Amino acid sequence: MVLAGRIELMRLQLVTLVLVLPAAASHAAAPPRFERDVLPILARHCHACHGAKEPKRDLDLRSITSLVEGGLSGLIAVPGKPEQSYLLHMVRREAMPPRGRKKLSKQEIETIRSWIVAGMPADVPYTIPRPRDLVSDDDRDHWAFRRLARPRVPSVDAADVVNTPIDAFVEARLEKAGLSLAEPADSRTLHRRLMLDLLGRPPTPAEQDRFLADTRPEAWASRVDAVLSSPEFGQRFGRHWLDVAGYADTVGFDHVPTQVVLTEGKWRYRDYVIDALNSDHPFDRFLREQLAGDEMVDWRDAKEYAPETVRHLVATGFLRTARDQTHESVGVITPNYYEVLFETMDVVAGGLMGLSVKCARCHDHKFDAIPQRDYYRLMASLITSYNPADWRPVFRFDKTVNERSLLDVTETTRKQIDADNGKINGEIGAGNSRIKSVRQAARTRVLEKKRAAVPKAIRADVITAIGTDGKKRNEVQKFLAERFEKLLAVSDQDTNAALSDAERATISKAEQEIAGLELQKRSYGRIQALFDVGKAPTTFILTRGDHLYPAAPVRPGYLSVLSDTPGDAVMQPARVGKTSSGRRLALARWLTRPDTRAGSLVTRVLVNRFWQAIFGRGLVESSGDFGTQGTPPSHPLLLDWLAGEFQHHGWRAKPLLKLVLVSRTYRQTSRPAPTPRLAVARRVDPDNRLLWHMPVRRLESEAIRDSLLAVADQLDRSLGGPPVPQIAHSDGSITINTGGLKRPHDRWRRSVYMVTRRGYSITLLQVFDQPSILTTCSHRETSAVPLQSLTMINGPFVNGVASRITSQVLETIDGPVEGNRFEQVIRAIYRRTLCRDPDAEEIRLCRSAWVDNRASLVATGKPRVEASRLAVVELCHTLLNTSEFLYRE
Amino acid sequence: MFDGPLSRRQLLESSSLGFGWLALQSLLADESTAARPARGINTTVRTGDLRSRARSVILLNMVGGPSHMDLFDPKPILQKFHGKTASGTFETLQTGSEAKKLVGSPFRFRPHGECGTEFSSMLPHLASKADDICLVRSMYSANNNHPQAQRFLQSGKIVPNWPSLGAWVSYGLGTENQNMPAFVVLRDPKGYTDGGTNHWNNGWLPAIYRGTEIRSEGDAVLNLKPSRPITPRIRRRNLDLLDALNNRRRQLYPDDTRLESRIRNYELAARMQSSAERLLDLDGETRATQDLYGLHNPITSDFGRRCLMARRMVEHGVRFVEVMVPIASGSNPFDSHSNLEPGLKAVCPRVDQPSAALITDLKQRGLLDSTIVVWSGEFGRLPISQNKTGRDHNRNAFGMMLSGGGFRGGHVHGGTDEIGYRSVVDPVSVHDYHATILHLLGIDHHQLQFPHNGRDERLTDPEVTGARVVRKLLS
Repeated sequence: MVLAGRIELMRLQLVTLVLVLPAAASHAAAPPRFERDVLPILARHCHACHGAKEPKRDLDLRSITSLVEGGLSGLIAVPGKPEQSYLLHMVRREAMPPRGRKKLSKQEIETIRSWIVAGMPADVPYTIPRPRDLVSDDDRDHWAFRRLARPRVPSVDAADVVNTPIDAFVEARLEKAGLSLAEPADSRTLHRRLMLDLLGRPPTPAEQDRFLADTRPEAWASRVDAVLSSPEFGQRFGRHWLDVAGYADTVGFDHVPTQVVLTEGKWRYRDYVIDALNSDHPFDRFLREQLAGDEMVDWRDAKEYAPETVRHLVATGFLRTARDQTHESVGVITPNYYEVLFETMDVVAGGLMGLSVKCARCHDHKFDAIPQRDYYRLMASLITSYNPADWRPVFRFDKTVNERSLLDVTETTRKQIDADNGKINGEIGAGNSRIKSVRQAARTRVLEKKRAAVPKAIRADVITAIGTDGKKRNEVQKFLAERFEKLLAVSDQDTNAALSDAERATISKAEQEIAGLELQKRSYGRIQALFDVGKAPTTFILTRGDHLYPAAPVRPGYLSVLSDTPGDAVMQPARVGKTSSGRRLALARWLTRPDTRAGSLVTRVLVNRFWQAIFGRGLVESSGDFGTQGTPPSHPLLLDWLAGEFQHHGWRAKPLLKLVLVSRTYRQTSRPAPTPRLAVARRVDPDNRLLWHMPVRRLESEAIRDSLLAVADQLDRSLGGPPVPQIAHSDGSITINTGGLKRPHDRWRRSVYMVTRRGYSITLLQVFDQPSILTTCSHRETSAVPLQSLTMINGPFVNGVASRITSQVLETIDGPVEGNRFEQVIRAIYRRTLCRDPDAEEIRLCRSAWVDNRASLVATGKPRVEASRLAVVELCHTLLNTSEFLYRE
Repeated sequence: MFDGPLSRRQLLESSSLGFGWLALQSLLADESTAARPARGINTTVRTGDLRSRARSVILLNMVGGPSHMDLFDPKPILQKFHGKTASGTFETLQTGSEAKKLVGSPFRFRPHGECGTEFSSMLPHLASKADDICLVRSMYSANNNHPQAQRFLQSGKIVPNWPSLGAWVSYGLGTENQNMPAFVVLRDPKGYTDGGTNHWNNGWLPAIYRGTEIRSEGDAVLNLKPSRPITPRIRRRNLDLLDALNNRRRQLYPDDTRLESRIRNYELAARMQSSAERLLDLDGETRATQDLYGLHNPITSDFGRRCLMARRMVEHGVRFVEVMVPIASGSNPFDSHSNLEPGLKAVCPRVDQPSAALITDLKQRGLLDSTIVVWSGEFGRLPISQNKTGRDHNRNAFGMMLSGGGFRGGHVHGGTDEIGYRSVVDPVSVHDYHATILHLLGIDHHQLQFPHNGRDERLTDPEVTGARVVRKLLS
């Protein structure tokens, strides 16, 4: 049995005190004793409520033993620690006794204070009990909080539809309802589905053809492997995780459209996430790094940072996503510090544990078994870094503060780099002056030559006139300067022309040296990391979440409902080095330990997120709420089986995803053939919770933009780097700021690299439900609003895509679009945009629209060939607007 | 096709543009299905009265903090003790008020209408509507700075990204007009006021409830017109083809109502192109109406145009129109830190006549009963001088004018202390204001809720804020 830590130790000291004190009682300034001095005060003021049959808040103040038992607010007095004693806080600020009742006198308060200071002596020996278990075993038995079951794969009637155990779980549920999995989808559809789900863009015609040509039995599995290993996978799945983290590139509330405030190097966390997904980094490590990367590597005393050190520090960017406004001098107030802590709590609890804990900030959670005490125990892991007593703002707004970021090199390395760069700059300077002197010599020669052309009689006067400051010239000098200044000017071209071969060689050699030297220079940047700062403060339960009203102190700990015993909920962190509390590392380990309640919950939440990313809806539909108010899993056994497999595969995402992607469940069609069974399915499960067909879903905002760029063959797939800037226009639209791009083709980068703002994304993303980022975001809403339609049919972006596709397709056509060539064109456009061939009816519909539009264009005076081409642009534009393009199926 | 109860529900939800939460409650009230999971619209609550009087709201948002004691809350004692040092402490935002010199209003007040409500000489036109105005002199806010206090007025929260009243109202009621969004914003075409687009945020309510900016100049709605030169004939032909292709596909997925809703959206977008343009075309209004709003006077024409557009919007079934203050005399024109007199003299004439015209015009057309007009800023100003010639922010007191929709005309509610620093008589909180507006629209503020991050959120959060309907304001 584990004792409740420090408080227990105090109890031991206290027993000693109690034994010793009677002997010292005769001393003149004897400290107050409970029964003699304190109890009468409590009887006078408190017993009416806290001594009755049913003491309020479960707090009975009639004896020392019941006092130290505490109430619903926990321990109310700590021996020797007046500042941690809720009792004292309450009477001091006259919060108790309640309004309308007589307050304690100063003398009475002082008696209580000195009694606490003296160690709370009492006549009756007592022990301070272990913190109460505020959570019942029933609470712990909620499905999400149980340890993972190892469910047996069920057997099913229609064994032929079962490819993988996943299918068996799904089919078993379906058969119980008299249903079955649908037939497999065709290869074209399936391949487009896979590409959209994993990479967020449709396949190119070449990719499509290559896959369709692969007739091997293992074609699908090997294609799944290939797509999973594309770097675009991380760019898409990384975005899912960035939603969980509530990641934004900007600082503070970010509420003014035209003001984008970035902080140096914050984007490195985004790149860390994408890299982790691409390298299939085990998720248990991934989570531990994000919570406590700084406590997993030795960076404080390191002479030099290894790449791994930097990576671990960058990972803690996960805890730096809260809206921190303390970089503004008006924002440097304690309530804002706590807001950052609270929001970070939401990310940790909501993102990793799928629990909405924010109610417990102010009071015990109404629905879930999360006492307010547990909230603050958990927050004690963060308070050593987000330390209200040693606050670090995002920016250093004046000299007295340290900012909350780190250099990505050690101080030693920084000095070395500065020194090295200084030396290199010296050499570069020398090279530059060598070039300058050579050019100066050549220039002088040219000048001499030009001067020689001036008539000798006035030569000296001209030189003097030009050499005199414009304002000081006399009339004659003005005249001369005006006549000769241009004539005697030596341009760079003049100098270049005058250089000898030897001089040219000298200059070019020096220039090469300089270029080489520039390359030798090293640079360093910043990491927006989280790390412990200052002396660890005591964490208090805050009454109504208000830091001005601290109640009982708490020790760092975990959620009781995820701990088997109250003792298990107490954290025993091991210090890391001299300065780090090790609390976040302890929390990270607790969350990722298999075979525990916490580890089981975290794993379930993770695999459910993967499932949601593929099917559009999780097995637990409320993917951010696994508590009692969330939705129970549609397939509880499958969820646990997947969670088990995930752990079995070393917490790696790719093997788990592959399991899902090769399943018949994933490969079934989204539109089952009309059979009697289909009618039953529609009746008994209209919401398709049982997965009797593949769900259809609209593409997310990023996938829509990326797909448009992809079908125009423009998508820039490069990895990493600072965000692509945006600009807010006066008409309310927001676009990429093409004037601020490092490379012109940055405008075609994948959407994950656009600057991520709290509420202002580029218009195309915004209208397609790019979420407002407050804290963690578990589920994207998909709306259908007219602004989407307007943006798609009228906006310049889609227009550009249609024109480009048209030009590319027409290049492959021999001659103008006429007669039979139209069919060639429409087929090519269909393959590009919708990844399939049009059927006869579609060709007919398209041809008819094309003919009509061509006629309209000719009527406006366009030449026939041009009209043909423009009518194709219109056609292309219309196809990009179809539901088929905007939906995965 | 939609035989199962859930399918019908899905259908209704997917057509949320037309069906508000309230209508949905009534339509689904007879269905026996259990509560749906906590996502989308919570259908477990049933309430509301569709026969309520008010059907739309026009909020004239006077961003900046109009000075109540210089416009509609006369304080003779300030005149009497003008220049004297006040005792007590004053909560200020900026520096410059340390001397605590009381400052009387430079403007004269006199009673107006049968009710005799006193207005200053700065708002002669609104004063002439005194008998139609319910004036609340005892409002108070929770924050002393513009962005926070504006967010508070809009959403009841100081922090950004919570749904605004307009979003809640459109979520609650939907729109009556299939050609227009339910929540429309008319801002000064010259730019945004402090706080940008956050004023009309949908927060975590579905994006459909976000305020749609309709501009009074240039293109009315972003991307309303094609960015490439095509004839209406081609536009129509494209939509026909799109419709044909989408319909073929819809037949392949008969269970998916979202596809249906997307098809309708293209049609709506197309209709919006013509209807928005028609709504914006003020030439069809009589010369008398144009003059009423001051359309031919350069001082009043901008705000007048937008007030007239607001009338046309509610006439056409838009639920919530937010008209932003004109910014010709500064991006925060009511923010009189150092230029109280010239500042108010610059902005009041821009808004006074058009605001009054809106009330007159709505009344003439029999629309005032069903339309609530709100004239308010986010907070008031201090009784003491700042920088000698101005007044700093005051969250403890401000005034709000309410008209139509069931508000009691010619009534003055509550009051501030004798110097106008604090609302002391019958104070009305911003949450009370929200509850009362919802009430007049037939929505019980306790019941209008939306699940977000594990909690059923409400605009007023009455258990926490104590919000209540202020019945004394109602006729």
